Amino acid sequence: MKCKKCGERASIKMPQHNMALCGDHFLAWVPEYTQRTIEKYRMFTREEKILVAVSGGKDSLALWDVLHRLGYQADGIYINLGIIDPQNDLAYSAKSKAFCSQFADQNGLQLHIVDIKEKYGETIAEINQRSAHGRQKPCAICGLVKRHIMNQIAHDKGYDVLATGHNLDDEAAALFGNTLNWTVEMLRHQSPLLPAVSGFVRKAKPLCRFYERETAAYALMRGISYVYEECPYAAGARSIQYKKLLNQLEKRSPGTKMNFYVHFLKAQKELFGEEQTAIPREEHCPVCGQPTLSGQACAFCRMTGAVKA
Amino acid sequence: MKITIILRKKEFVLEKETSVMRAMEILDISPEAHLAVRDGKLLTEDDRLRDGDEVQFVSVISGG
Repeated sequence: MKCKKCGERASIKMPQHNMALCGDHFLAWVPEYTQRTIEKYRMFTREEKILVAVSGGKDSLALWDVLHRLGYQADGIYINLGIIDPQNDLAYSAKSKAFCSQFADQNGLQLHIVDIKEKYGETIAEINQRSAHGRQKPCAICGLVKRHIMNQIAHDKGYDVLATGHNLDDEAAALFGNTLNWTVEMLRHQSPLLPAVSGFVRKAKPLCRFYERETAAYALMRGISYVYEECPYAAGARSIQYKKLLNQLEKRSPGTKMNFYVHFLKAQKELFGEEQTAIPREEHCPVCGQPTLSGQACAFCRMTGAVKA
Repeated sequence: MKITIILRKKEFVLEKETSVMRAMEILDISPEAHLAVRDGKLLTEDDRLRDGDEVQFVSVISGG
């Protein structure tokens, strides 16, 4: 297998693009393709301030690296959820945070760190143990906490856009789940770009057209240290089952995942019209000022209010 | 004749030359969800594994 650009030995095959590339040309192609994606969906410009949500995993650190290489003003935010994995004797959040800090230090980049135990008094597992909402796994609480804090920091510190490292496999798996369940509102709002609306900062997914193996290959080839281990709560997650199913289809018919996602984005306009925005919320939480549906304290403040009580 | 494969911190030994693709089939893992790394360099599914090779198969699926 030869590199399409130079004829040297290929390091990665990408049948969905009808292309194989050597290491050097792959490392040049990833920022080029990211830039095309940023422009295609009008995500942001080099004059704007970007906050990259980093988890210590391959996707978010690869995204931060690519944006930095492309010359964007991109700072990072890491939320320390206090997750540990006793089965594998792993301080999962501490290790993830260390990779984010290391990346920021090596590249001279600014990283905001929010430690929820320090700020709100409990880790995710401790909130979950007490909360009526998450008796089994804390993933719903975790999502709520991350969305709230990321939006708050982006808003308070004057960032124009929040960028996340969602890849095409993430998006295709979410789409697969939303289609299986016909969750129409989720289908309406699934987008590479959510414009800012009523207190929600603009959100962009610049890696949404890369397969997961490509973001991993990029991180490995760039020598980016990232946390290989999975979050202990991810085991058995439905999204991972969907990814495995989609990969079976991809193996039989290369390009299936890409077509599923990209053709959805085209069909979405026919189904729902041109505007895919965050769900508008005209009311604001009296405690934190973030948007809510009810005008009462938002779900996050109710939860952390209970923590303080 | 020994090819060592490391997958999720466990070692597997193959006793004859084969391709990356075939090695993944033997270990029942998906080439869509794994990368093969030898001496710090990525291998494609067609690359051959040879006597003495130590190859890491890296899972790329994440999320929850």
